[in-house]
Amino acid sequence: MEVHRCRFVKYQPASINALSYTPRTAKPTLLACGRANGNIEIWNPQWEWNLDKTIPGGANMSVEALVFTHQTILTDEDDYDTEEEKVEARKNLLAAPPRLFSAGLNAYIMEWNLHTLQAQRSVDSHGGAIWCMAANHVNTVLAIGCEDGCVRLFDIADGELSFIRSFDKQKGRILSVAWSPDDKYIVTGSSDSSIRKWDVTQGRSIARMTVEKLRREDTLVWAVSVLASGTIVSGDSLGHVKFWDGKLGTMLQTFPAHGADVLCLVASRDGRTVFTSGVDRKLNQFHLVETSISSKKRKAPSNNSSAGVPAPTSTTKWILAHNRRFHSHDVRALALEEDRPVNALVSGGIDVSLVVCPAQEFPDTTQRRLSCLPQKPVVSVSKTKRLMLCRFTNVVKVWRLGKGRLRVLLVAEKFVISCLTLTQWRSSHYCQLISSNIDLLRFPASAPTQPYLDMDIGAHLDLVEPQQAVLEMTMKDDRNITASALSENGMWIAVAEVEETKLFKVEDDPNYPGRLIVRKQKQFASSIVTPSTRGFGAHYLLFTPDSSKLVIAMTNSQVLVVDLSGWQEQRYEILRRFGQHRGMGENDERNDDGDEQVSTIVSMTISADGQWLSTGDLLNRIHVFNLDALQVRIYLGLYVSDIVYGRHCKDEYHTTLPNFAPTHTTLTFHSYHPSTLIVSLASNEFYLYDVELCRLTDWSRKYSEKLPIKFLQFKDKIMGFGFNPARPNTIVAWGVSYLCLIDLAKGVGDRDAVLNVAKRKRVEEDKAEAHKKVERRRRYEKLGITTPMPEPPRSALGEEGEGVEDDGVNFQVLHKFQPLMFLDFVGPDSMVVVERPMFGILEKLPPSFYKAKYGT
Amino acid sequence: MSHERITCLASHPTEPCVATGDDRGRITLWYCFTAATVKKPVTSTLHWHAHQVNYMTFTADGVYLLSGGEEAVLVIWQLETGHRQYLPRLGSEIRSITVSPDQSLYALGHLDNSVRVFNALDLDIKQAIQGLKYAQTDHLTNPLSTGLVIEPRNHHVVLNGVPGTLQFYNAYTDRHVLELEVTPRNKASRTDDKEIVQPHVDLVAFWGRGEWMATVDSRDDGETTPELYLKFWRWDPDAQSYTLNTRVDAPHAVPITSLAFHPVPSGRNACPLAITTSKDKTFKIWHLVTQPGAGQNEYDVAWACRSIGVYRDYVPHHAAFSDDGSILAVAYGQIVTLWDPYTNTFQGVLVHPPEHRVVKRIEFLGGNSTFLVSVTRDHLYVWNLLTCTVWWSYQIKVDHLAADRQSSHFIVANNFPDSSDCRFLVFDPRTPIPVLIHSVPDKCRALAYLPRDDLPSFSTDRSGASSVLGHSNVIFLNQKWDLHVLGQAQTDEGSDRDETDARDKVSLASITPAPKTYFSDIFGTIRPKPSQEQLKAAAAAQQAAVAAAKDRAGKGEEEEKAFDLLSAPSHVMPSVATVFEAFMEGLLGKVGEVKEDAGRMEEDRDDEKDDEEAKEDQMDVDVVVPSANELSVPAPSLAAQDLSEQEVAIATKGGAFGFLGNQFLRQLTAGDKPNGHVVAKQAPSTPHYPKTNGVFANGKANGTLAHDSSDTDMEPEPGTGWNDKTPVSARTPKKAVVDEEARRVATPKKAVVDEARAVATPKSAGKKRKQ
Repeated sequence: MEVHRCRFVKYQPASINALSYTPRTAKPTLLACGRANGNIEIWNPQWEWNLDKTIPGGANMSVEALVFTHQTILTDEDDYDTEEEKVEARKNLLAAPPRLFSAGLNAYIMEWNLHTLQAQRSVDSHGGAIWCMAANHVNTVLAIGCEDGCVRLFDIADGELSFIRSFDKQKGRILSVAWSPDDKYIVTGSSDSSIRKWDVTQGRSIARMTVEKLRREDTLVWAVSVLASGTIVSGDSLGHVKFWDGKLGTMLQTFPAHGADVLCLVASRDGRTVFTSGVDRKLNQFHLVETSISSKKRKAPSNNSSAGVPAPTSTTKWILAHNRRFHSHDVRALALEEDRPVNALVSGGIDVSLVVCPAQEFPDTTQRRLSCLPQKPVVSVSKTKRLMLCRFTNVVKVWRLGKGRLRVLLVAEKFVISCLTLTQWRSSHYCQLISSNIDLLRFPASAPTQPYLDMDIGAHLDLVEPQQAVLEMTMKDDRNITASALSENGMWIAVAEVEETKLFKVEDDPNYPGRLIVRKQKQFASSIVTPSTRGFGAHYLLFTPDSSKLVIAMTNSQVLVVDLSGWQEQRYEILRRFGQHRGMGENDERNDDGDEQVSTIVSMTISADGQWLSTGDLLNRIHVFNLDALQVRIYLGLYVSDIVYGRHCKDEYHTTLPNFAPTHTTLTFHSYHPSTLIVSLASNEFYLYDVELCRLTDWSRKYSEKLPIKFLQFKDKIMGFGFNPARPNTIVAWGVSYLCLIDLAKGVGDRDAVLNVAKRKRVEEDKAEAHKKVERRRRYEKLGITTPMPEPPRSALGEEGEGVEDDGVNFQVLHKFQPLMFLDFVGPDSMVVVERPMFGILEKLPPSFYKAKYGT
Repeated sequence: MSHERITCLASHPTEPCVATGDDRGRITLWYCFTAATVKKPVTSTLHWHAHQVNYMTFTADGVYLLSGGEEAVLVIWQLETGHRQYLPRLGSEIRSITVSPDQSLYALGHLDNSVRVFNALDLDIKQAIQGLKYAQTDHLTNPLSTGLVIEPRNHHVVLNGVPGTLQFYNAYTDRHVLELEVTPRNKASRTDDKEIVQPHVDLVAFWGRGEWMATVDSRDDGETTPELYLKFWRWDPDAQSYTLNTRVDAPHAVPITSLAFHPVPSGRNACPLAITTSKDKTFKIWHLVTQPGAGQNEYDVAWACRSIGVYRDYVPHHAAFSDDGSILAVAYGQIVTLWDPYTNTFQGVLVHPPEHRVVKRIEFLGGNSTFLVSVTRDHLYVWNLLTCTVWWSYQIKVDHLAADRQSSHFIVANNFPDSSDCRFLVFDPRTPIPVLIHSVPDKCRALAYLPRDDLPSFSTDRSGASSVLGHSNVIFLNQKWDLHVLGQAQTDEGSDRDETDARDKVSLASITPAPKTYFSDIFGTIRPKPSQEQLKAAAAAQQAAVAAAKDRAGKGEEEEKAFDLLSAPSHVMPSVATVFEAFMEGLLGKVGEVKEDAGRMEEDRDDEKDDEEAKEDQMDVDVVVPSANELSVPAPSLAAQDLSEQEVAIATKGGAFGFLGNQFLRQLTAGDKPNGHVVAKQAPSTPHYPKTNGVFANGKANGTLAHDSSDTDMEPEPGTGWNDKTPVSARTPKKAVVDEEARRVATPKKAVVDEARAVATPKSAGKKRKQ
């Protein structure tokens, strides 16, 4: 097996600046994660943290603060005549989806549309960069802290976003802001080493608390929070965490808990636990404890004034309970949702990964580092042209894959083959691989169902022709790229962002042989823009396998099929427009009442014969379209039984499917059974659906519900499927950290089996070893020698029959390649994997806070 | 929650909270006493210590927590703020901490057996109380290789302190005097689990009145090159300490086995010498040289290697100079070579009977005597250097040996292997009968004579008992690493006070009962007025056993002369051949049918024949447990005989092992022996020694010791005893015979004896033939 192991794709995720959970009243709970490049990721904690969607940012759009709001009270009760109306209105409020606001150093407050992933509304702060933002507890007013030292309030009630008032100006910028529990006061931390308490109605500062300065330099109060009890917590650039009396403004306790700036803090809802973190990467937990068991029993102090009165002193105090260190660089954001089932403390920072850790059990828990690689592949490949396209924030790069030659092959087994050329190697019944970092997976090609147990990394191959970067396009727009595609014939490149889709024609560069140049098809944009699609870009792009059509999943959830065959006349005809994901048919005028049914298209696939197109959205609606006939074929998914849609789709093409409770993650047509659609779910289950017969395939009906347990336990979701032309029956499911071979000609076998090939091999070896020992002993006994041989452990021997015939386990998991960004087959037994090792990402980061290690 | 071992615990005086310290150095505060936190305790961790927290305590107001551990740093935690205050460089691991009730003083107990008291306000040290440092160090990595050495200037006890140092200790006042850092080192605590290998002082020796001190220190961690240094230190009267004068890097390639100074009295202007022996098969003699280019200043001197000695590819184990400095003895395996230290000439060799046991230790005896004591694994030999013969020997496991510089006595410590008792035997080299036996319920770890001349409360008395310990006390370390001083108890009122005084001073570092009570028990009963005759008789019995050549105790003058001759230093004596006749004349006195030399040779041969027979008997004795009959053959004293019967009776009942008295019953100068020479063997089956002193006194001490006892029933009659022996001793006048006999008696197999003699002592053999 030839493996192009590509590590040259220098994908660099951006660091995390802000985190925010949806309010408690909104269901389901989501987490927004704002990054330095302006992207906002929406994570769903259900199904082991699935990345639902990414709102693309743009240049100068770094996210400093994120707030999810969900209004729960009626702003103007008088508008409603009857109680019933009020109740109805409240119900509507509660049912409304949460709103997401972001603010950044570009001085704008943005509200995002969570379906189209476009900015819905934006407001200038008029006070310069926004450093912090907080919504009051009823989610009707937004307070922001500005560069100019003003706190500004914005009305966000009832879908508004408008300026209310500005507080008195103070010296220095406002770095942190928090609302008191009764929403009457605002507490801010600023860069002039002070914490202020403001009266909301008057807009005046009513208390000022100062923190220590170091050598007359102002201390920055990076984080403040007001607990349910009214206690104010602050974190500053000296690394101190301070607790203040909320009424009097006196300091209660101070902890020099951090070695450097405290950048973020979160408090639990009951106000008994506080988490802080910052530049020194430490995550500290503070806890409120009782310092006397019963204050009544305690004798009053002997002085006369308090004699007889129960001891008035506070009987609680804060202690620094625990600390953990999850990150390798500064931690810039924390988010806490301690209620089950979420129960997660999430932290993120410069080191680009989100770390999730159970909050209630802290610190006796294991944290989980979520993959920072995109869950929707950013790579597309032209198999025939050996071209690979990858998109970055606003750059698209194309490489031509390298070729290798086998120099010395040291096979782990018994023989050494030296100096085999590629062709010789191919002819010697062994498959061979070439790549940039070329590894060889060795197994006999004659046995296509050879268990991967025998698969082995054989050798590295010399690159006779290294991979070559042949094209690099930098987009002129400020907006980040959302989708890109490379056509199979290598002629077209399509690139999309949220407002525009562009098509480029690829040509050979006459000046530099081997290099490519692109030519923008200017007519394309204008020809697909209609009044209803103006200003809408795309979330997903795909070329049909014959490169004659481009399918565009628009940000407004329309699906366009564009014919490219008339390119010479600059004529791009929209063949068909599907509005199913907007909750309607082809008639895109009927959009208003179906608005709540609009959902972001997150997956799309086209079958290898170009006949079928399938798209899926976040509501788990999966539609299958026949591209030959250009009509909807099937509608799968969650809302199949929905009456409205049942009526709407009640035609001869309609079929039903078991409802998928988990969100689907990918859609793929089987390359060699073009009518078989593979749907993978966030729970790591996958289903095979035959779109011709409108039912699940026999294999899927039999086994999809009982996949091996170990496979379902993988925390990384399935990111795609690969199909090896040399093994038509086998599909390769892959995720960030694994690839799994599944033979569809066989059953699932033992559900509890060990899937990891290497581990299975070890078990085999142990078994063989134990067997050998027994043999040797038997031989000795035959010779009359008794040796004190320890009885081989029962588990190593295993029950007879188990493991001897290997077909007991169908799923074969390799962890050899990880973390994976992409996997596909470019030819028979020729696989391309794109890896992005974590150290490659980390080495690009600035140095982290130095921590002296004892003894060095 | 944590899986570490909890090492200490303290509870908060005012809040519902306890603190635990663990072996990873963390202190955890547990708030688990409220209803909410009982099930799920809220904890807070304080972590500064890198190693195990040994001890911690809260101050009474609960504001501070004090903790200490291996880092030798007292950490004062201000609990409210998390602020830490340190009291670093305390020099030794902290073992315990206490705070005075008014919180004005902190007292720390340290691993080096000291207590330091600090002012809580400014953390200034107020007082330090230092005990014997060696008591609490790791005895495996820091063995007591120096033993107990008495510094000659002030008679301080010098021994290993904490690794790399020597401690000077005044045993009488129970005061730490001086810590000498032999190897300066950075007192860093380890950074990982592996212990740091510390340098170790192997040997120490003093010269003259303490003008010079020599030390050997080494460090071998198995990774880097082993370090070995020989250092010479000069007494600095200004600093009242020793300052380093010369450091010899790698004086030998491999570890040094012994170190000794040439004992020339410092009054003489002689150049001091020192010797080191090493496993690299050489010994080196070091001397003091004036450094080239230096002026006449006496401090411009340094030590240099003067000569290197090698003997036959053997490894030297121990070396010693005779008291007058004329002889250097180096022990190689089972032989002891004698050298002239001034001329580096090889003088002779003493071959131990072929026991195939390595000579572990050799010691010249003090008091200008001519004896050399050598110790093998299970034998003790006393050599007479005038005759170069084994004077007598014992089969005894000598654990520790010390020689008194002021008399010729030496003391042997013998730990019972199967009980925690130890037996001390004081010998006069002239006689195999120990002059004193004392047993203590402790193991002896090291032993030394401690001069008592400068301590008035231990003033010498003129009694017979004072001759046992002479002008010294015995100091030893027991298994609890306490120093004990054994001295002479007195019974009159004045001395009672002294005794209690002494006991107070003696029990160091712990409250072990002073072992001197045993002595007082023993000697207290002995005290009442021994009659003059008894004393005389006792002395006579001793002398008879040594010389074995006298018929009567009354022959004072000849005796005196003979011993005058013996007491002269061996190197100033004329050759043995010259003085032999006169000496023997004086010794034999009236017995005297002294023949001519030729005739004596013949007689020698006759004796040899007799010896053949005697040897057969001897072999029996060696192998078979002696019966009562055998043991009751004519013995040196009636008392011994009587006692032997008693003893055997007990032995058959008890069957236990290990009582001393029986050894002396087997004195082999029995009637069938032609010579008066004595070799005693330890009887294998003896009754278990009861720990009550009464039994000791009644059963053994009065019989075996040559003292008279209060038990008049057991009163020996020296006169008769000697009379019995008269014919025997009359027949053994000659040195050659003695030599011969010694070998015979000690070794049952004649062939081996001959062979050994032929190989090892060609000179003495040849001399004999010449005679």
